[in-house]
Amino acid sequence: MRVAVFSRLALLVVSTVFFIMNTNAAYAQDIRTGDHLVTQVSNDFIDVSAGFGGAVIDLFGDRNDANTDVAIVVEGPKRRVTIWQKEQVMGAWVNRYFVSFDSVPVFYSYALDKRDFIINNSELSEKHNVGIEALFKEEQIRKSRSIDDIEVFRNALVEERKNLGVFPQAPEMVEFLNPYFFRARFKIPQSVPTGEYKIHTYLVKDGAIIDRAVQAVSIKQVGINGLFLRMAKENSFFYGLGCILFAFIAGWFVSAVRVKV
Amino acid sequence: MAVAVEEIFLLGFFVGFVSGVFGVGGGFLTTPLLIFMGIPPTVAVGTQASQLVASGTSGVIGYWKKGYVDFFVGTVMLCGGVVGTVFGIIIFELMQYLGQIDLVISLLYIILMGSVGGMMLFESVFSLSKGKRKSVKHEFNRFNSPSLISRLPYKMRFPRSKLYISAFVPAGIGFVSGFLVSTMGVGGGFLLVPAMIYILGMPAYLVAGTSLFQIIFTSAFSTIMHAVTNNSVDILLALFLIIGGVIGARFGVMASKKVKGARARVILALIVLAVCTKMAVHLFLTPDNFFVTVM
Repeated sequence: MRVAVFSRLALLVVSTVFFIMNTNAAYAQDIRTGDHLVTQVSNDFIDVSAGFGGAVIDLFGDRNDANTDVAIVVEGPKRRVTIWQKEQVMGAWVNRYFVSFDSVPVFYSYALDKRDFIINNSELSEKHNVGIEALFKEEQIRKSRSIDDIEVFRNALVEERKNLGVFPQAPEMVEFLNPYFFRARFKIPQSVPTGEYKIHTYLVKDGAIIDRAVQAVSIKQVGINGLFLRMAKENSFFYGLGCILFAFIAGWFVSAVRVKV
Repeated sequence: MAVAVEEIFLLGFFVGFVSGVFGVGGGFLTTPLLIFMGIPPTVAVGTQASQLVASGTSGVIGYWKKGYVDFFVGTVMLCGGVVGTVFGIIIFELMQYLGQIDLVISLLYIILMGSVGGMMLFESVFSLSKGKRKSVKHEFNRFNSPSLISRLPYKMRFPRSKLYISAFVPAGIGFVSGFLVSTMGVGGGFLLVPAMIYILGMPAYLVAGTSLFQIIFTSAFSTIMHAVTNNSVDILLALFLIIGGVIGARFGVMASKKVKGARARVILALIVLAVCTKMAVHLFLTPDNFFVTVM
């Protein structure tokens, strides 16, 4: 009886240890942070104020193995996006069919050291969002029933985003200042959506990710505009009350001045 | 959303000028013009509601001092207005969810402005050609209480307006006003004033002040609802519209001495019809881009 309990306990301990080791191993294989790669971002915040004309983020990195590839991804906060296709109904152009993607980053860019090395690497594109195609995951799509081909919708969205400067026309280049030290430059357009941005850097050797690093950049609206925007989002009821109060005072002021003149 | 401050100011000035010349609210011009400038229709409507509070307040004070506001009728109308606003906001949200809000706003404007502008043009051209103003008021006053309205329940006495009428009538008019404010961003004076005179049978001198009083609170309620449900109120946009509007109205009042009567109404009708046509063209012309993205 006692032996049975002990053996069960032992089995539990062994299996738990094995489980922990196992997950640790998987974890290490996937991430292995800090061994081969160090990155640093030029500025970890960007203040958007009146007259903001765009900005630049530089990502600097150092690798300990010159025989590797580097892929860098910049992603802003994700939102649901719906694309409507217009069709003529009784002469009027109305939104008829839709395709919506559950989480598309409001800003996206990426940089590679060689133009096309991601093509053969499904891990980078599927798991780590390297490349624009990687952003549109099959399971996150809703659509009108009669629509089979989502390609045209996706292309319309990508084209619009490219024109706004929030999607890249082509991947940026990772520049090497020596075989180990590199830099990538990302242009942030004037109309950039605010929020927390993440910059992921992947070090790839023989098709496998051997190291990765993350940097964060926070883009914020500052000044009076930013204050109002934040109020409107976070305290919308009091914001609305404030708007009314302001309007009452403005209206009263106008009539008071009119009486005097 | 980035739009030049000067443009907003000029827009406010223009609308203020028009409202000063013709003595109209001007909401029916602001919302379409904001949309033409590229402001999302939802923001145009939400913001215009807060601007209505300001213009309503400045207007009502004058009437209030003269005692030309029936607060009792106004309050009953306001109750209907609150219900109408909630109804309008629900429709607004539903249409936004279905991706049809831009279409609905355009259609409402085309229908309402087309019919109001058309009637105004017809009436003013008619009276111009006859050489004198037709006294419409006289004919209609006899129909103070059509039989259907007099049969409605919950009759109330409104001593200030000397009315004994079902509370549903003013509340119903308020309902329409609330619906218009929350879906189109217009106070709806062009519908309210005739409705209050001909359906309600209120004394004409009380109508303008009372409808303004009701519109202030209905649009205040609508502002809060828009702010909470879809963050579509932009206080800075409203600020520049108000400033532009105030200055424009001054010049408008000065200019109003030169254009009067039927001739003024012809011009106003043409402005209304022009905006209506532009909206229709926008809707029926083949767009440059067949895809619209909504975040």
